[in-house]
Amino acid sequence: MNETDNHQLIIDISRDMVAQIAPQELPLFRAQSQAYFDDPAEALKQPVGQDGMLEFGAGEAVVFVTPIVLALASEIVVFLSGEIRTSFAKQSADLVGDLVKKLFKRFRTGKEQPPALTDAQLAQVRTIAYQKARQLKLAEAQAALLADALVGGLAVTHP
Amino acid sequence: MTEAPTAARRARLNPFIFPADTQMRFMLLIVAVLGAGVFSYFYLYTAIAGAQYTRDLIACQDAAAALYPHDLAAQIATREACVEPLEQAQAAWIIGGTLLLFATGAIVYWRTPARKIRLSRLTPLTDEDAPDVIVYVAEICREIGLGRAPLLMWNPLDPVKRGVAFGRLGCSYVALSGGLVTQFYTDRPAFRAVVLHELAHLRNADTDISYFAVAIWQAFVLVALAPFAIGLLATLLRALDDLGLVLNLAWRAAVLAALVYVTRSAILRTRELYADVRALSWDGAGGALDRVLAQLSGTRAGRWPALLAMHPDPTIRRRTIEQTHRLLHMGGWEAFGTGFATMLACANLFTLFALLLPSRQEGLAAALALLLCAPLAAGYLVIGGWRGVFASWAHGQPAPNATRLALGLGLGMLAGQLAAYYTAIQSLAFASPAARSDAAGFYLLWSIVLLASLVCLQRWIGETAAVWLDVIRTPGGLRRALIAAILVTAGLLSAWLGVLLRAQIVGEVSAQLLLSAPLTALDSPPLLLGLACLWALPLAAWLRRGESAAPTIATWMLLDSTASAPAHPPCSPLHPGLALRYGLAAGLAFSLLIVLARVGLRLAVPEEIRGTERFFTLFVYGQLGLAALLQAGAAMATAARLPHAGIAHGIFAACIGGSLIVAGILASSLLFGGTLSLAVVGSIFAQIVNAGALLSLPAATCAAALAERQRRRRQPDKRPAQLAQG
Repeated sequence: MNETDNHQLIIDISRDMVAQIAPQELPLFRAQSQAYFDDPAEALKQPVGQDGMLEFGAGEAVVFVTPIVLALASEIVVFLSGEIRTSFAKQSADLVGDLVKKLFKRFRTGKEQPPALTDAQLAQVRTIAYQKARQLKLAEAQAALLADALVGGLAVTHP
Repeated sequence: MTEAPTAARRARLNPFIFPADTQMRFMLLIVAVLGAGVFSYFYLYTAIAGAQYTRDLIACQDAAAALYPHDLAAQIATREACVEPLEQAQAAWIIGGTLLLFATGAIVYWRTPARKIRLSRLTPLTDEDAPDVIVYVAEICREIGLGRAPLLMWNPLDPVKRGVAFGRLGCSYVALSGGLVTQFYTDRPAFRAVVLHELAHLRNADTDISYFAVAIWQAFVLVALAPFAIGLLATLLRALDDLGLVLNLAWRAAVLAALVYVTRSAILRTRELYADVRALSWDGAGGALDRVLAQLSGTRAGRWPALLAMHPDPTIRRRTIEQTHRLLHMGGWEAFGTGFATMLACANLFTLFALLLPSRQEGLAAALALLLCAPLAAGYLVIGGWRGVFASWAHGQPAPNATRLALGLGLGMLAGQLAAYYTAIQSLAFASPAARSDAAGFYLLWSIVLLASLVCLQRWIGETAAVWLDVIRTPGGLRRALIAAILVTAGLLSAWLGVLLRAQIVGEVSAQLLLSAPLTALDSPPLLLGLACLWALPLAAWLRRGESAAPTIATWMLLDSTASAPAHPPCSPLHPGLALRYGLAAGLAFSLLIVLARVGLRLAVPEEIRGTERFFTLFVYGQLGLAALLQAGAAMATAARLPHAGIAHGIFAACIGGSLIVAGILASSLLFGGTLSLAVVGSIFAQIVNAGALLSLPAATCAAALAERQRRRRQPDKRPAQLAQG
């Protein structure tokens, strides 16, 4: 999967999550995702609210969820790519990208037999997502919500 | 004034019926920058071209002495003609520097929107991103009747919940942060409150003022203060002997810079308070503005951080939207700053115009400087006085103490004069301690006269406000009355300051010279007109007494149109008839006394003495003195008797008395064989009435103040408004 496709996958996944857990940030999504891919470290910084001259006053700053979701989605896509690559070691890179996509429910048409993640893999995805969110200084409850939303979007193999 | 019912305390007063502090402080800033800029460029010229200038002056003197070694008058005239182009070149240099300062400020202001958009990373808010926000803001603009909707910008990456209104003439923007846009979905009332606040800045027309204030401060630092500091340093490095001059100028420059900076910060703070009140008037008591303000972080504690802060403390903002009358009070320190800037600019401009104009036009130079600067001080006195009186009138409280404003302004004027460039140079020129102590003694007396006259003027302003507030029915009527009061006060203040400044210059040279010129000074038709306005403007309200008062205070005087308007206070009566009677009595008494005096002098003093010029002069001064005393007596009696508008009634009584006194003088002159001419009659009239009015103003002010104190002591349980009804 080339970089553009990779970014688009991350954007699509992230938009769904933002729509679910922070819909008020949807108007900002386009600009925030563009800023994230331009400079992820800068986008993940949380600036302190400063009293700008001639502005309303030193208001509080909101914690934008969008960059964190983008970071989480990036991390998970990398993890899943690795898992798929391990399982299908001899397949081409494009095929791996397709397979990673189909792990997410939103990209399934319902006709094909989806690749599956085991419970252990899902738990690992959740852990990665949760730890990443906490690393980015998101509150516990919100990090858990994000991780659950991400996992909820993945297809699961039921025995 | 009479007591208004308690309902007035519940309804919030509308501060927008008077000029806002934002606009007034902006005028103060412009005058302060003008004075400070001229100060800086005076010194810079001296630093750069001073040596050559001095050489040229000496050359002129030497040439004049060589041409006319025995004719001093011709020498002086020749020297003046030689020096004039040098002085005009210096003046042109200083004017050029000052224009550069303001032009730089204008350029910075003009480029500010582009710079702000670039630095804040703003982009236009489009339908693609947030169409419902755009529609909502457009609806708000229609709802509040904003003539021209601003361009919406945003920074979607900014998490702080903030908005800002900015722009330049003809083009306004409102920028929203990403954090604020999310609030549109999570807390709509809070979003609305912030947007209304920003739109209020546009409605209050304070964005241009604020951004120009910031720009002019930056220009002042760059184009005036920095070169000034470099020039001072260079002077010091060149010659350590000049340390006295450097220190003399340095502390003054520091004070001027502080004045400009503090005034700029005050503008930025004030605009927020007015925008909060305007937003509240649109959003209503049920809006979220108070809640949003409660969430803001406060400024650092302490007087100095508060003075330098660019935002008012949120506690003050919340208190102000609840008690809007707080915007109507003007502090003593503000009056001090106004007086300081006025006199500083006036003194520096006088020095500049004296260089620019041909020789011996110092009177014109002073008049021009005063006409440019005195209206600021007059505006502050009038608007500050009227606002304070309105707040107490509407709340049924005693009129505010006029003394604090007047003393603040006067002390500021004295300080401003000390900070002027000419004073800095002159203070190094005194040769002896004796000369210094003589000048200090005269200056102390002069200062007392200045302060006392300002107190009298401020009390008159308060009286005029009280009288007119009883009869004003429309916002247009209030505007016209304010304009009239400002014009009269500006004219009187300019004329009076001109007299005082001339007296200061002459008196510092010779007190005897000062005492020999009062008749000439009093023979002034413009002064006559100005003093007549002191009674005409307040008593003109008597002509409107026939109109029946509305049952309630006008709703346009209140911020809450839905609140029940309190009852209109009953109008306190004016008594011009009583003042007329006292004036007539003074006039008749004088006429009788002058006839008796003339008869007595004819009998007691020989003809050869009565025919001398010295006797004639003594007689004229004696006549003038008696006339002035009787007029002042009539004024005091009137002012003490009437609890309402005592000063105006008193001066009216004095003028009536003065007119009758003039008739008495002319009649007695004809009776004893004298002749008359129209010019002489005009001069006598102006001298008598002006002298009487000038003495009556402080006399009536003191009498009114003492009488009011007596009334309060006799009836401590009654409110002042009840005491005023007798």
